[in-house]
Amino acid sequence: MSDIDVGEQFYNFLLHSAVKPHCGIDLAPYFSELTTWERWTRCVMSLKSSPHGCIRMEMLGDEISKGCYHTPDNPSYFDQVRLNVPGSPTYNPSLPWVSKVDSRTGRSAGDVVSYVDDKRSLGSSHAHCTQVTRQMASMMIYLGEQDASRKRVAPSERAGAWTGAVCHTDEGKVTVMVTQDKWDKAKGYIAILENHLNRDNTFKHKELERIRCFLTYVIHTYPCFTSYLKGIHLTLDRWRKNRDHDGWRIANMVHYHLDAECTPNALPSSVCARCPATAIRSLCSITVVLHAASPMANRSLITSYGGSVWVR
Amino acid sequence: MVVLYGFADASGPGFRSTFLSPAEIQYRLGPWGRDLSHASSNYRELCNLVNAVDYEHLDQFPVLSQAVQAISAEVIANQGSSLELFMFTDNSVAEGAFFRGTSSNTKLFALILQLRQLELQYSLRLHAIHIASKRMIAQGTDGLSRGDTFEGVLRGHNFLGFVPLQRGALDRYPGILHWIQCWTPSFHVIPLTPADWFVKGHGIVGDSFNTDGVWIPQVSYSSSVIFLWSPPPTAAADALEQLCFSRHKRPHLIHIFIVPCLFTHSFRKRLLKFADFSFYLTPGRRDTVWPTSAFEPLLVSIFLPFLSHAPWTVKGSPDLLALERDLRSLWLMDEDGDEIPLLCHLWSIAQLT
Repeated sequence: MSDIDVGEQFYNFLLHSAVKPHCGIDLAPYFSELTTWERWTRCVMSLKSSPHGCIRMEMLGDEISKGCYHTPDNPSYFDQVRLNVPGSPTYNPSLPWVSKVDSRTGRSAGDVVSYVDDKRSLGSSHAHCTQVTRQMASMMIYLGEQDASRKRVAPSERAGAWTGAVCHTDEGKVTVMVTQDKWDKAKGYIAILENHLNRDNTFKHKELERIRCFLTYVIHTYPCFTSYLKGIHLTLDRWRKNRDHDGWRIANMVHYHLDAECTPNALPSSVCARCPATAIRSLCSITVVLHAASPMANRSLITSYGGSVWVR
Repeated sequence: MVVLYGFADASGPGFRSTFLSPAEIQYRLGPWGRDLSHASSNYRELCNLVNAVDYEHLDQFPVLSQAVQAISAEVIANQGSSLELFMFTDNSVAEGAFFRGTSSNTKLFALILQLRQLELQYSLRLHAIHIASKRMIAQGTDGLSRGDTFEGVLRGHNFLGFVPLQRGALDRYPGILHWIQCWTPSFHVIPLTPADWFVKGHGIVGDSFNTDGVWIPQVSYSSSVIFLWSPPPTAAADALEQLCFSRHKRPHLIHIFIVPCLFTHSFRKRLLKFADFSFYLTPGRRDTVWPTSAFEPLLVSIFLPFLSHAPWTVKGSPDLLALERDLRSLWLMDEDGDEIPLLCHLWSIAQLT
């Protein structure tokens, strides 16, 4: 794997000629000697169309940069797409499910994947990856895209972070992880939570939100941690009124809005969780929470509480 | 490297599961105890899934334990190996809950956590896959509750034959192509092979070289061509990614994406988000197209060209929404209703005819 960085991503691509006359700023209010407009000719930051337009042009550029896929001396050459999918008798879990293959060598074809202005070139060996990177970078320059060569990362099986994750392909396996800094920070946050638990079992809301935010980011790399954030979610949402002691949402509770003049006797007899439309028909100033399972019992509770009630 | 396939089913009175191991087929069945007989069906289904996996690791069925031990030895020796397990269930909540990794139901969440712990403890990669109940019946796991051990795989039928994850819709029933051509009369429908996903699916129809000798792809600008993507369910996510790249690069192209409703957690959300028009063809509605033996519905999604003005896409336009409603009500009112005229109307809404 190797990294290629595109310099000044948006400015590499020209605006459409039909848009140019309408895209600019009037400098007259700021400089009295100027009476003309300054026009943009290239995609710029904060233009609504810039992300879509630039990525589109970049993808078209990548297509040309990869070169003719069926020319044998092209490092991105492939003549076969291998489907190694579950259910087939020959399924091999150590191989990718879908891959472009060069049948002459049996290895995966060279390729380049892009994330906005960061490109990662892939090859089956150091030399192959170098070839893919060289071709990609030279064609980018040919097409007028800036190659920020100072940010180039040489081919390696232990390449650095890309799109927030570190991927290593050495020792015969693929390993995806976060950077050591982020891992240490995540461990630090968990230690803080543990301290709070052992001390007085109370948390500051803002701090817990910050921890959740960071751990959610880590989960992008480690999806199996998703379930383990549930406790933080529940703790943060426990203040809401339809939650129980542990923060779990109370089942079969529905918010019904009723007319201010609505008396218990006027309640529709069929009010229940399964027919919310009945309740939605009567809009309202009083918020009543009804237990869906027993409309008759709710009537009496509404009578006793009179106005805004909270029934569990 | 070990891959296991298993079916798990639960109902009012009891539970059952079957496993395909490298050596043999194992099955497990029994009644629920008093503690679970009144629990919700979603809970029982997921509980059975957990138990089926768990029991494989414990004493009841030593196959998986042996596999895990073998893998542990291999991991120690080779520093890298894993076990992959495909569990099929006819409960969509179980699939959804496992895939999301969370649930608002306390008991379901506890079961999900148990599955996750199993994954981490045994270096297991688990896939929970929803299938139709009728497939479960045909496969034989459903019949186990009645003590019937002479159905489906237990009768000797091929286990993998009930796991069509590797076959696309067109591969399973080629008659679909003719059906699609019926409602795309003024278009030329091109079915794409996996190799075409990376080339033809992107609109590249030939090669040319500029004066510098640089390869420039020849692109299809024809508005009467439709690319038909028919990937296997397990490869649908990759095919869809290529389709999205293609649509971003060349928004004038028209695509139809058909895929059986299996392994849907990997692609359905994205597919329904990006497609302009989608509908489900239930099995048996058109016996020559998607017969009852297909078990799961066929998801058909249509990607129309972008508009040259806001809102840039036809999706969500009143006419298209009305068409969706008409299609649904047609099949609701009359099972044999002819959908072809309605689908033909789609092209006039998109101003392509």
